[in-house]
Amino acid sequence: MPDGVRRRPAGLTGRHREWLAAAGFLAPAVVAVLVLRLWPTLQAVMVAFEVGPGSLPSLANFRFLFADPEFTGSLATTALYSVLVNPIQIALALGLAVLLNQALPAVGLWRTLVLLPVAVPQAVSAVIWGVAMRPDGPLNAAFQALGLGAQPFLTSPRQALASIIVIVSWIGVGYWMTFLIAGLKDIPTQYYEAAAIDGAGAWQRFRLITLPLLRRPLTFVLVADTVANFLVFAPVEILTRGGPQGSTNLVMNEIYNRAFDQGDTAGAAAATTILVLVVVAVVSIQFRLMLAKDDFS
Amino acid sequence: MPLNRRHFLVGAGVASSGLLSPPPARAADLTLNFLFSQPPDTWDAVIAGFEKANPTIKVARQSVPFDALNAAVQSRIGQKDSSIDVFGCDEPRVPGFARRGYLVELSDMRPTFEKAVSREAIDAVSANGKIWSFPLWTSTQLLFYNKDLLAKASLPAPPLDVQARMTWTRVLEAAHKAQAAGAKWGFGFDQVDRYYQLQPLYESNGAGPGLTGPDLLTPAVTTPKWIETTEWYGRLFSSGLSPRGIPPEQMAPLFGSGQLAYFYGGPWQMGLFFRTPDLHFGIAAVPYFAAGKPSTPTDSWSMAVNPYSNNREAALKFASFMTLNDAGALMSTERMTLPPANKAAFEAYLKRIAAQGGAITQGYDALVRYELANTAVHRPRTIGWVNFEQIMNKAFSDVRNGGDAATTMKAADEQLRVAFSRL
Amino acid sequence: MSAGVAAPERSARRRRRGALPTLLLILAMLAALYSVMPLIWAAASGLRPGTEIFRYLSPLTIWSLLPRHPTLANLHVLWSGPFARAMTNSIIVATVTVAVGLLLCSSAAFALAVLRFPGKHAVFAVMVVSFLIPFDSIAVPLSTLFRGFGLQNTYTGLVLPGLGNGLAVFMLRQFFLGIPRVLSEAAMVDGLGWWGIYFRIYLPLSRPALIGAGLILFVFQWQAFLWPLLIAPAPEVHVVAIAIANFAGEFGVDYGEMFAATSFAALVPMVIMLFFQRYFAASLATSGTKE
Repeated sequence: MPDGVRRRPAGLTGRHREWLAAAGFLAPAVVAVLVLRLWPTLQAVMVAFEVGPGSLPSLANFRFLFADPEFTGSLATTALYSVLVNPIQIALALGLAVLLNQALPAVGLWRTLVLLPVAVPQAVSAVIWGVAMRPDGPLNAAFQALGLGAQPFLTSPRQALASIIVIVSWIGVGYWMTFLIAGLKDIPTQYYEAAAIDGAGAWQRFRLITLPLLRRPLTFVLVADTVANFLVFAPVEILTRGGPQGSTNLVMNEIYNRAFDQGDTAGAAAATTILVLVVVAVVSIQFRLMLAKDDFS
Repeated sequence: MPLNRRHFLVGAGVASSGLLSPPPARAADLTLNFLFSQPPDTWDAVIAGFEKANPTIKVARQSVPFDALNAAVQSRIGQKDSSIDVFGCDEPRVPGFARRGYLVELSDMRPTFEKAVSREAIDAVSANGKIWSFPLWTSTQLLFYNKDLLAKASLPAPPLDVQARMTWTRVLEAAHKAQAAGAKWGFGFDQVDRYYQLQPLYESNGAGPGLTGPDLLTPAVTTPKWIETTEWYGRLFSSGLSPRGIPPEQMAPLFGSGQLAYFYGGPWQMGLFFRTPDLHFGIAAVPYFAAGKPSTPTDSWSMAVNPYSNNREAALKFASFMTLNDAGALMSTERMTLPPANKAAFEAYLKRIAAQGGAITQGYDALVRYELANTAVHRPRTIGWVNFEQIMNKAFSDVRNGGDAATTMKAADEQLRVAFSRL
Repeated sequence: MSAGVAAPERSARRRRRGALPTLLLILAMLAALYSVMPLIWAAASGLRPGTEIFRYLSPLTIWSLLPRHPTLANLHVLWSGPFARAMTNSIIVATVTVAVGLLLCSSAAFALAVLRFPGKHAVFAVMVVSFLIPFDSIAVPLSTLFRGFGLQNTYTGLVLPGLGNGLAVFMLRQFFLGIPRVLSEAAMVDGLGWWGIYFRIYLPLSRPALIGAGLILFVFQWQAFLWPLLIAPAPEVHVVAIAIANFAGEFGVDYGEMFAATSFAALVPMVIMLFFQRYFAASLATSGTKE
């Protein structure tokens, strides 16, 4: 403040006060993240470079992984899965968000019910859907009643991954929808009214008002959903174990097996490192594409 | 409503209550931590009995879900956690765990072992000639059949007499007939797609366990006999006799709901079947391949002591009580009706089953005795067991879902070689 | 608020396009039905005797959904067994995590969105990277650390990893960035310190975002399985996910009990979510200053 006539209460003058305040605000979270996330990650990553007692660190574990067709297959399967599941889930979440943002009767109840699956332990959701998708189960019973043939679902290499996508989407779409609804709520209705007065149709309003103003929440959902989908493994572990014929062998399933069933901690750590690098790369690209300069102010 | 300091203090207060430790035990008391995956009330009788005989030792239970036990053991003992004293160890994992240093060696207790448990049981917990854990239970299998579904097809009951057991050809013929007469499914395995269940098929057909070599670390799953047996397995499902897509845990309920004519499963399923109101079932000896000899799966859980435990003596006492002590071993079968490895407890167990089961279980004890002594095949004792089981189970599942036997087994062979090269 | 002004316009529109709202309502109900149908089946199965659960899967009859011989036996087992304790544990752990975690994450998000200081981008990057790391991969070294501090089988041990949630921080920061700076500048003129700006201006404006962050924190704890497995295996501190998985035994699964337990486990979040829906009802637009 150029003229020192009005004395501010302590704590507001000078940049260093802002740094101190920032430190105060950030300290607990930063400590939590450092101690509870980053330090164990460092430990885990170091294990990835271990070869044996007394040996020098090396890339042997990584070489082993990339020479293992199981692992490289899981990377490919995960890539395919990612490319399919993310657009589907985000489109669904966005559509549901727009739908359930309307002033419909009992809309709070509909929103809650759509969100509810995320409150069920994933293992149980997997079991329930596993029963539904049994070749002799209710889904096929319904299909047959409707004249469509019985489907193999999780027992077929062609349908298993799609079935997993259905299950995972059932679990998560309501969750992502909720964040988008919060974002939609933030768009002032004046814009829509003004556009309506100008003669813009519903789709135009969506494209020219909703989407641009939803950019930040949409980025958040895109990034968070992508990350979550890279880390999926509970339905795979319970229902298909990566089969049939490796068609659902997602990389997190590989990591879990190596770490906890086979006890190959070094291999699991190396695989985790690779996964994290891939995720960081993908998320960076998403950030670059979606966010404008002013989001980094 | 906005957050305020009050909420924060409440939260902190509740959080810090977690730091309060339980009231300290009496000075002379020792607490053993016992990690297992069975329902906690399985151990009520055993723990009560042990604490009565050892008033200064208390046993604290820690339970994890079955699928997660090995993960829990690997992570905690692998990190030298001393907060486990005794834990359940699946017998086929003994060689692998021993190699990793997760088990305490018990060879100096051999005389006690030999008095209390059978030689097969000692073999099941040994590796490289040393004893590594206390054998608790063993297992065998039965052929269950649905009397109503068989009657509809005018089929005779399969024999309980082991000398007269049916061949696979006969059983499948009968299963097809039962299906034609109205049964939804003709035949099913209890633990489909699991090596434990399917190993006897390969052994009975003369294909061996799938591993060979001095350490059983050379895969042998591409031999003609092995492929032939695998194709036989795949045909069960492609012919529509047995269902696809039903996980092992839902196979016994399938039999229980009267939709399955013949069910090859464990005796522990009898409890469920007795509780099912309109199910009329019988038991028989399991089938075999006429070209070979009868084979049944066996082995089950053992109790191990954590080498990093701070209470090794007390832990050894507790583990021995559950297994080598006749009374203790019998108590361990009260809730979980598996045959105990302890010889004396085994006799008492058979008497009890005969009394509880009535007409249906007549002849069961002769059957169990015979199978355990003559047809039981142990799972391969190798440090590569976990990898082997995992890869084979996936391979079986692929075959069940329609994969070609030869291609699948060739892929499994490669995966096994890669996995074993890592050991 | 624009709602009042628009109401006559809206009802006029509704009269002109009579079918649309009904269609939208039907769509909404269908979406809700799809989401809840598997859970209804599970809840109904919780009322069946265990031997009946898989009997009526196909062909579809009324008994596929309604229990033919309803029984309360499963519920009995639940409430006399360890499940009730597990529910209590989960509720406590989740509540504490949300309460403390919201404070932690929102204050960090505030600093990252509003304050200026060097290294801001680095700290933000660190927050983002932290939620890219699969928690299950670091659970083992983390559990060793916690055991060293005697946090095994304590509520604290269960709560702590759920507090510093990079995703929640990220989300709140995105939201805070959208709150106009003029508000804080005006507040500074009025003599408010940074804590006051955070507490009295940003937080009250952030209700939906806080609910969203609370949801993130809650879901982390409610879905947590591997962490409680490693750090809290004593039956007194089992959480709901472990208790439910315990119904899956080695030789068979108690499906009736498992589904009954799941239905209860889903009821608690459902009530909470229903309660918080009304905070999504009002728009946040602070008209006049929002661009």
